[in-house]
Order: sequence, then structure tokens, then C-alpha cells
Amino acid sequence: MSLTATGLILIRSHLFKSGEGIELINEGQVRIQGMVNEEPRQRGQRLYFNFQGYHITTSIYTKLTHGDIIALDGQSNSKEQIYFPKIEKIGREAGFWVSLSDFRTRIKDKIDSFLPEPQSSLLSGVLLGVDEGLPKDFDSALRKTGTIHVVVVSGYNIGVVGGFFISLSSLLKRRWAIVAALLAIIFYTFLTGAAAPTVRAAIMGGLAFFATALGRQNWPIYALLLSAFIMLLVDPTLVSEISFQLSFMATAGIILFKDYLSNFLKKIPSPFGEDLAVTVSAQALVVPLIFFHFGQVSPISPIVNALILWTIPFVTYIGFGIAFFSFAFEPFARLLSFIAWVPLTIFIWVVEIFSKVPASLIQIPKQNFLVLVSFYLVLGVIIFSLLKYVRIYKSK
Amino acid sequence: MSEYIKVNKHKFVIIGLSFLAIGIWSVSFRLPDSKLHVKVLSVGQGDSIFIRTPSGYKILVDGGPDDKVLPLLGEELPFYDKSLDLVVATHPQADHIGGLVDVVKRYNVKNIWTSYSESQTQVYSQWRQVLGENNLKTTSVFAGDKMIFPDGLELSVVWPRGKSSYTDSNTTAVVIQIDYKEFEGLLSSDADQQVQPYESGVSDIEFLKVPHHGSKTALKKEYLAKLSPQISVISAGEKNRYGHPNKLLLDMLQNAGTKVFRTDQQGSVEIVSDGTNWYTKTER
Repeated sequence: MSLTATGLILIRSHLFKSGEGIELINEGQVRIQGMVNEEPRQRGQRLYFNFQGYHITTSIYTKLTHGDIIALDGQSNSKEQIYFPKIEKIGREAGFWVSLSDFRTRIKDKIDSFLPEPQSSLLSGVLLGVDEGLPKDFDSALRKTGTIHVVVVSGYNIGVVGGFFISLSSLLKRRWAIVAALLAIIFYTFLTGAAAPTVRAAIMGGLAFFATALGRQNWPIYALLLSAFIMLLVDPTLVSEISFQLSFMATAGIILFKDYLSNFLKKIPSPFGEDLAVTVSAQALVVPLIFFHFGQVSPISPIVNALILWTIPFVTYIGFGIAFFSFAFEPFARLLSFIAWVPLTIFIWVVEIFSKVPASLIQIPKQNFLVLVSFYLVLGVIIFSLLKYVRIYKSK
Repeated sequence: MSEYIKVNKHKFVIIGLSFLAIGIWSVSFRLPDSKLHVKVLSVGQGDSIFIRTPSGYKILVDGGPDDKVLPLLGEELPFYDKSLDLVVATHPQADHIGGLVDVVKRYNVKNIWTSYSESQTQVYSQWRQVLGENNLKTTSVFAGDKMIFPDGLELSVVWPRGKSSYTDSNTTAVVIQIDYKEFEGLLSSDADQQVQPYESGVSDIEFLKVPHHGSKTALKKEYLAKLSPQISVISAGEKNRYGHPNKLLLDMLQNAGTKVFRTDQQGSVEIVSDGTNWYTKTER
């Protein structure tokens, strides 16, 4: 299995490399021509993107977007990285994905013209899943407080979008509300660029969400397992992808523990108690993975999330309005963005305060299997004994 | 749905009112207060100075190296305000115009002053391109050019003297003198020793933005003695690779008896004046 997997990767990277337009001049010197196949990510003064199997780092002043056709001239190292190559823009590709990317860029530009930073890029992050424009300090504050997930479309955002339409059930017929929620989730997935990890999160989150809405107790976890199974059947290498592992575990955690936890936390006033339940249940299964892959976890993350997650549905719904009206009637979109400014600012304010808490990151060495396994074991024991307690309690 | 709104009427009213209150409060701190505010923003290795005039005109002199200026500018203006009355690009180097590329894209900029010098760099071509895309006109300014605001604030250009051939674009940098009643300040960009004294007879000033991030050749000793600023602000990045500010220059400033502020240590530095008295505020 692992052999086949490596084989697949090898064949793939080989296919990429032998693509048209690549010219190997001599030792590491390459000249490549082609289309930029993804939205380049901006961090500080650098721009990163993958291009025909190479990892390119360039300056932010080389403005590039998805769909640009470029000629690139540079020196590749042994890890297929090319630093600051000569890049010449030749033209622009047409097609669905490029149009989608232009559509997203247009909404982002509008938001940028309505709101100041960091509010504007936070809104773009939540609404469009673009995290490259985040101011550097704010980006690191999000990471420190374990709230970066709101700008990376996750099962949570999918749930927010679907939940809104389900809450319209009293207005529409339930069946239509579910159809509307489904369409909204699909629309949202495209709005966020429909990158592979997003689509997977949408499928897992969406299915689990519908199974919950349909109201059979065990359906959500079966739906999640089935969707993961099918995805793995199509591409077994997914199992090693961090984004896949995180989506799966977070969704599973919410399905398995959220109801118990919200029951337990019902004394904490809404919406904070509910948000705390969502965060803790998702993190229960995700934390060991984060330790394993990144070597650091933010222990204050549940508190910060509980304090601010309520702002995200507001921001998302108003954001849909802004996106729509920025095409239809701009002054109204501007007005809506001023309303969104308030929850965005509360969010930023809380994150910035908590990011100043000293030692807000716990660090351990990466790739430590022992920690991973023992965490899940301990968690298993706790859950098992709790379940037993609940059963005894119920039977009394 | 309508049933839901009816039941939760009070909730909606409370949320609406608290949103409004937060909005109004945040704006009230950022409105003109009939004082002059000059704030050297902490943009890392680069320059960016925000000025709010007593009656609320907004001026940005340089934008630092990147988009770091945007959240800082956002803090200075009310949330609904995306306009600037004047932007100055003192000379075409990345640590001065890099951030301005984003600023002119997102803000409605009414006037742009630039240096006459040009550059072959990527950032400069990006800057020209953004100006073109947004149909923005620029004015190359020289010593003697002035902008006088209705509230009495004057911005005078005191360098460059005129066009000449140059090898170092720092010598073409636009230097601006701020006059408001008895308050005098100099925003000297990167115009170092080579071009001092500037085209201004001003002496015994209140405020000096130290030229060229406090490099070794930033100031002539005798010129510093003449200016004799009460406070001097150095805009430099934490642990920057140029070693700015230079130790010798720091000593020189100290010997001159001026109070030194550094953005790499104190974050953004603000000076507030009513025209006679002034005080400073620092971020850290």
C-alpha cells in the first residue's frame, strides 16, 4: 500500500516535470512557461506559489494571480525550490477557474475599499477563504490563539452557512430549507475557491450537517465515515495529508462529543457555552494531530474561541450580503460592511488581547508518535468511563 | 421567520444598539481635536509618517516597505473613512513606496507629491502601474512648493532644490517642513549629509524625523546644532540588516541634547501640538 502510494507520487511529479514548456538548461537552471495554476500566497514581503512541480518564492512586487501565463527563468535547488526567479507575464488564460478567481478577487478588492485593515482581510478570510492578505502581526496573533481556522474554510464555516438556511425552516418548508442549505454550501465552496482541502471539508462537514438536520442519532458519524471512505478510495494518499486528517478529526469530534458537552456546559450563557462545546469537542481529537505535525498547541485556544466564535455567523451572513450587493448596489454593500465592522473589530480586539498572554504556546518536539498514541489512549479511557457513568446515572 | 423576529425582538434591539454604541465610540477617538498630530508609524525598516491637521486633513508621508502600514493607518482613521488628502512618495525606494502601492489602491487619495527621480526596480514599476490603473496624477515637487491648509498648517518642500543628475536617489528625496503656529518640524526622508543644509533657514525646531533611518551619514554635526530639535525620531526596523541606527549617530544626537525616540524600540511615536505646547506618546 505504502509502496503504491509512493509510486503514485513519483509518477505524478514526473508527469508534472515533463510537462510542456519546461526547458532544463544545465545543472538546476530552468526555464518554464505556463499558467499559474493557483492563487499565490502572500506572507510579509514574499509571494509563494507552486508552478509545474516547483516551489516558487518571489517578491510581492511581482503581482501574480491565478490564470496568469508566465515565463519563468531561475535556479532550482535539490528540493525543487526556486528563489526569486526572473518572471515575465505573457498573458492570461481564460476559463471557469480563472473567472472564479477573478470574481473572488473582485469581491476582495471591494471589501478592501470599504474597510480598513485588519478588518478587511479578516472578512475576506472568513468569506472567501483567502488568508494571504492578513497583516503579519494579526496572522501570528491568530496562530498564537488557535483561531486561524476561521480564515481557512473548515467544517465549522460550512456548518454556519448550512445552519442559517435550516433556521429558515419555519419560513420555508423544511425540505426546501434543506435544499437551500445544500445550494448555499455549494455556492460557498466555490466562493472560497473550491481548493481540494475545502471541497473535502465541505463534503465531510456538509454530509454530517445534513445527517444531523435529518435527525437520526447515528447518521452523522456514518455519513462522515462513508464520505472519508469514498475519498480515500479515490485517492489513498489523502490519508497522509494534514488538512484531510484535521477536517476528519474535527468533524468527528463535533459529532461525537458536542451534544454531551453542551449539556454539561449549559450553565454558561449562550452563545459562549455552545461555542465552547463546539471548540472543545473539535479540539479533543485534533490537538494531538497538531502536536504531531506542528509541535505546538495554544492552550488558551478554547477560551478565545468561546469568546469570539459567535461573531463568525454574523460576519458570514453579512458578508454574503456584501458580496452580492457589491455587484448589485455598491452603497448598500458599503453600509453592510460598516455593520460587519463591529463583530470583526470585537473579534480582532479579543484575539489581540489574548495573543499578548505570555507563553501562550505549548511546544514539544514534532513527529512524536508516543504522544499521539498516548493522547488518544487517555482520551479513550476518559470517554469510556464517562459513558459508563452516564449509563449508571441514567439507569438510576 | 417573522414569528422568530417577534419572539426575539428585544435581542435584536439590544444587539443593534450595542453595535451602534461601539461604532460611535470608536469614531469619537479618531475625529479632529483641533490639535496637530504627527505620528511616525512603526512599519519596520522604512519610513511612514501620518499627519492629522487640527481641522482633520489627513496626510501620509511614505508608506514603509509593505502592507504593514494598512492596519496602522486603519487605527488612525474612523472605520468608514478611506480617504487621504495628500500622499507623499519622497523617493522611489521600496522602504518608502512599497506600502504606498497598497495605500493608493485602497484609499481615495486626493493629491500625490513625488520626487522627480525614477527607478528601474520592480516596486517602482508596480507603483507607476497602480497609479495608472487608478487614474492618479502625481506632482513632482521642489523646494519652494507649499500646501497651506485652512486651519493654518503649512507643509513646505525644502528639498530637492531642482533637477540634477544623481547616482543615489536618496539625494533626490522630498524633505518637508511642517509649520503650525510656533511648532516646527522636519520630515527629512533619506536626505542625508550629502544634501544638507536643506533649502530652509529654519533653526531651533521642535521635531526632527532623523534622515535615512539614523545611518552613519544621516546628519552633519553643524546642521544638527543649528536645527537643535527638541525631539528626534528614528524610524528603523527591529534587528534590521543595515545596523540602523548607527552608534556614532546616536552619540551625536545625545551630545546635541535632543530627546531621541526609536520606532524599533518604542513602536509608533506620536507628537501632538496645539501650536505652542506639545507632548509625545509612544506605543511601548
